[in-house]
Amino acid sequence: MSFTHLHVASAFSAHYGTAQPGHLAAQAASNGADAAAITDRDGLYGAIRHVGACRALGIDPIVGVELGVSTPSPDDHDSPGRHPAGQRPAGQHPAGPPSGSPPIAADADRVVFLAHGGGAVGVGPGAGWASLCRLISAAHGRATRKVNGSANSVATIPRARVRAFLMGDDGPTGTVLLGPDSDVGRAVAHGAHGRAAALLEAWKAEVPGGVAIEVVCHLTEPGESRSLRHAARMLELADAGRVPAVLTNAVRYREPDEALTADVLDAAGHLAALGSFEPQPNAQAFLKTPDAMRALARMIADASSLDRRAAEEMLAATEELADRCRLDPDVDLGWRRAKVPELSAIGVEGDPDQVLWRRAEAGVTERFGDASMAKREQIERRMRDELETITSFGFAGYFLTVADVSAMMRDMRVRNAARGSGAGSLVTYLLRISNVDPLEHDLLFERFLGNKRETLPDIDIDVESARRHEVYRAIFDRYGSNRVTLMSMQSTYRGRGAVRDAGLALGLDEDQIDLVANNVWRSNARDMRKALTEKPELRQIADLVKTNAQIDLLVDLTERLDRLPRHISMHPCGVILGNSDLLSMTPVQPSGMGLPMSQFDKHDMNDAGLLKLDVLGVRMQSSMAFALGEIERLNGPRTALAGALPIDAPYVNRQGRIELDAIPHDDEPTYEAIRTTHTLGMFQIESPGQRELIGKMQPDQYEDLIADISLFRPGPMKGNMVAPYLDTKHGFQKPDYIHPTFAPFLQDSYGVVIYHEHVLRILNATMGISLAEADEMRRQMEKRADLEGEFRSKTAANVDEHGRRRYTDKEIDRIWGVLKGFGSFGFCKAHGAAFALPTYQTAWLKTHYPAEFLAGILTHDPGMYPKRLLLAEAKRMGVPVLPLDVNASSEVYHVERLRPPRTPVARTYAGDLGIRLSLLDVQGITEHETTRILENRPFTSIADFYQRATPSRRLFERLGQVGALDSLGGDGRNRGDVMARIRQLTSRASRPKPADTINQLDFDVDDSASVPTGSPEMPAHERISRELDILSMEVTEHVIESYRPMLDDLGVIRAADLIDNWNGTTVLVAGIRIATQTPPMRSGKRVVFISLDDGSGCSDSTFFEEAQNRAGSLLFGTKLLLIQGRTRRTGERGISLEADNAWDLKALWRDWQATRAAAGRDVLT
Amino acid sequence: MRIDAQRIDERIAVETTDEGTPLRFTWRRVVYGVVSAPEVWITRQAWWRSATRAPRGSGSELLEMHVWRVDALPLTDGAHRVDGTFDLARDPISREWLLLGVFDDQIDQQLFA
Repeated sequence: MSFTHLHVASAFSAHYGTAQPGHLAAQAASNGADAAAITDRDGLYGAIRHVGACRALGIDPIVGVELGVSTPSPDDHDSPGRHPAGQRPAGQHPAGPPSGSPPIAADADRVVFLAHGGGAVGVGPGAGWASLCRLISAAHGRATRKVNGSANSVATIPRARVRAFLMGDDGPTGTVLLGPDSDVGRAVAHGAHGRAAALLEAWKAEVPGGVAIEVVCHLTEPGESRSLRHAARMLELADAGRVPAVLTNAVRYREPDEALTADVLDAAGHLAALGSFEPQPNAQAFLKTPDAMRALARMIADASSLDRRAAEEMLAATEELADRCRLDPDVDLGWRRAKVPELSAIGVEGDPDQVLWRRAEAGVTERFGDASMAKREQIERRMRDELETITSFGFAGYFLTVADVSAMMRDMRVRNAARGSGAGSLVTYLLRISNVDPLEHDLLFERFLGNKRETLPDIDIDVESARRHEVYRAIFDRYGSNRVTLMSMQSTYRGRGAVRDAGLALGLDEDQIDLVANNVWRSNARDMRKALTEKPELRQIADLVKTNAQIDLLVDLTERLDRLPRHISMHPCGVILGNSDLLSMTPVQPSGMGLPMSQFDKHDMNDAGLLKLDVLGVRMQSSMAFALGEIERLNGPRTALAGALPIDAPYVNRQGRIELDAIPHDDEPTYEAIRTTHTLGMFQIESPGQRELIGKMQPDQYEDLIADISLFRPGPMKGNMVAPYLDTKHGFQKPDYIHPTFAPFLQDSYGVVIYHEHVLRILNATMGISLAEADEMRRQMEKRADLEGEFRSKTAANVDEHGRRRYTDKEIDRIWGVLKGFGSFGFCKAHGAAFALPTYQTAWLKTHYPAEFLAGILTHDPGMYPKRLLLAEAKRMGVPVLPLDVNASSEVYHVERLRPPRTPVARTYAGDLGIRLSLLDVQGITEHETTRILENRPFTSIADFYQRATPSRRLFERLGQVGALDSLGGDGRNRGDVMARIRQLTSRASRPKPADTINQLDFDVDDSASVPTGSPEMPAHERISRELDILSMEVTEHVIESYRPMLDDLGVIRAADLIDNWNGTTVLVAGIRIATQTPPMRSGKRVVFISLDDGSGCSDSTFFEEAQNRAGSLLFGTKLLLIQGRTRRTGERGISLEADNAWDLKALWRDWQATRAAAGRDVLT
Repeated sequence: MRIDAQRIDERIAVETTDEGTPLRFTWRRVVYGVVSAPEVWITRQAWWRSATRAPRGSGSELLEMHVWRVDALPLTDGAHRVDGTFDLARDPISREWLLLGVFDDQIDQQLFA
């Protein structure tokens, strides 16, 4: 006989459960159960996974939730659910909440609600599930509560509201389990049996026929909650109250071992060290075997006043309730059935298929208005093919919905770009969902949507990050909040977070935790012990582990936490669009931005049949939007001239607005700029590794950019696809098309098989199968070994009109070799083409409008590099950087015109436009302070500024230190004078008000004269250090300059001069670290790239294993570095270093100074 | 109303049946005989104070301790003879016995007077 566990928390009960739903269900099944339940705390976070796991195991899923229940009543304060002083059960920690404070979760009464299946008596299909979803959403309410630690947060429903959700017309749609933590169970634990019976009656009145007593025995200390005695009393209460008693084990882990992990999770939930709160009583809350549960049932019955039959009755009632709660995924959840918005919601009338055809046809004229007849025919043929596939799947509504969202964003003038394999579809291009022309790049629709697709295809849309929330709200407004919700995301424990929470549990001190956490953050928590033995930069931590037992223990606990869900948050880009029943399908809760979010994450979408639209906020899109705005503002009708574009460029309108998605893709100046490898700010090709690849590749066409982005990934780097590509492109070898029939479609990559699209075409040519079939086969090639035979026989049988074989055995061997080698390396070209679009657009903007473009990236900071480097880039390009000035700087980096165009038709020359530093980056400035500065300017004097902008004293001083008040100081005043004046003003006891007549004189009449003169000028090194502190970038001169005497002494080379060295020269470089990368490598060994900036440019050093060992902990932590290495030419204009060793520049500086001082020389001149 | 236990936490010698149920034990040089059917319960330990390692698989032994709650009578003479209820626990790793606590009305006066 089996036993069905009805109360099981998975790891998706954050900071509580320790086991994944799939593992729990599998264990239940292997114990002989034909149904398994999940009842996570506060929601259905793990429910879809659980249902999926049960389906795969062939057992019935049962789903419920554990929620807090409040019973507001006049005598609330002595409700037995709380523990009035003195009546706390013995053995419990005495430190309860102070009286009068709101109840915390540990004190909140909790019950389990189980959904009845659609097959149960009186329950319609999906009715139980829908009730559960709506009940949970109600328990979460609308507002986000501020709580400390997850143990203190709980979704709570007033008891009086339960009825509204759980009582259907023909009876209850769910059952309430009143267990040890319910008001009833707690009353029993206190021996308040009369009270317990009354509470039970109240529940029965709320949900007639839907109440059961949950008996739990964890063999705790006799008399405690969950003790044998407690369980026996609960059983007696059920008998007296004539409700079923069911046995559960209130499971929170799969096996006893995980109880230790649960202890650590409890600590994380309480935000307190173990020992400072009441821990779980023992390790009994695991998924016990049917035998163990039956034994428990007998023990409980024996301990009760009932006769022995009570045990069997309890077990039978448990199975009876389980049967009532069995869900049918198809009937109750519409498993994998698409739930997309009703057509009326997207403004479509009539047959969606016909509407889609009409819109696509209109798109042909719009997109290809000037195409030749032949081209147009080709386009229309492809469009018909795609539309037939789309409509045969019934996806017309889906495409119309996505098109509707795209159109809405265009109307809002939000920049957007589709990405992903959707770019391979002509229809998405015609509907203006995507801006990539699939015909231009030979992209295949079949890769996006074959003929076997059963789930909704993914279309992802990038939008300006700064306007992302605006877009979300507009989607909610347009489709209604009954059809839209945000998707959520489960954050799981990884290295750093796991160390922090494990350290907290052990009560280690902050410094020790920080030391470990900050060092291991790149490692996987699961393999932490292994990482400690292998990674040189963790040597220090590894030594600590050997000598410090607590740290040793910390490592074990960290490994235990790995991958467990920590908390739920709003997914950065997922919006769920459903039909008007969406809120009966998914529970929702408030998100950080206030809009409701689903409790389901991206892994749940397909199974739940929910359409997720990825609307991803991309800073680079915001940067480009900002740049386009600045271009229009500064140049107006002269925009084309200013950017050295053709005067009649069709993509620039009269006002100077550039239609960026319409710029030609063959602009030679843009490619020339890319080839210099000064790619900083160019989307995706600015990293050191990419700069190296770009230097070697020397791209001169759009296809090269697609290839570059596709090749710069682990697979192709390991598969050495790069070398043949480059050698052929540069003419060192002839293209090898493998077989002459492949030449037409391998042109775009010089014969190297890079893209999925290539594989599809090869299979299509050789085996004579359709492209859709080819895509099926491609997807299975990794998994199935038997495909080789099929490939060989079909290809061998492929004959021409004379009956001659098209492919010889030898050729077949070779082709199969290539296909096999291709393996997982390939990339979907449609992805690459979509990715390459913003790459090209940013490169184009940087080439034609450098000042406006750099202002955009400084404002929206999209890239990998710190702003200090962007400023250096501006200087390199001859764009002046204008100092911070309270009368000129704003919340963004504006472009200012410094001198008029040379002639009315001249382009912009370097020096015509400058970039004004923004208040945005002043440390500690608040939004209100910024607003006051912007609203009250211009300011006439330092005192005037102090009085009307009312900055905090700290901010006032900081602004002075970085020169933002220099322009108010008056003639002949230096920074030192300005600072002296600031000190004068701030030393007064109170800030003068404008109406302050006593101080008036001093302020308004003769202010400029009040600014002292002749103060000592602030020394350069102090200026720089203040700038670094306050702005996180230096404006005056590069930070490295202050080390210059030592660097010259050591013979350190400037980055800009590296290129003058022979290959293989050993040199020293220094600088501030701007990037650290451990990119994929052919060998699979780890290689670390460190880029340093020294003001003259950027040096890239490569650390192989030995150098990593020598550099040790410097590899990832230290900011200012000196690196010794050998030069390595990487192409026409590229050079990098193979590092031997690295040193901490600050430590060297101290040593060097000490040595100099010892030598009796003055080093501080 | 139950009586709160007096926490003892002393190592003691225990004689058990073949099944491991306590029969007799010696505490502070007094031998006690168990006179009731034991009530078994499970307590927990503050493993984080003592453990130096806690790899996967070691959890339940570090965390749990079985306790036999028994009534016992002193069988020998001694300075402090207690007639009451005793919690006898067995360390799952060292297999040593521990007297966790004693319930008795007069125990405070008897032990710590």
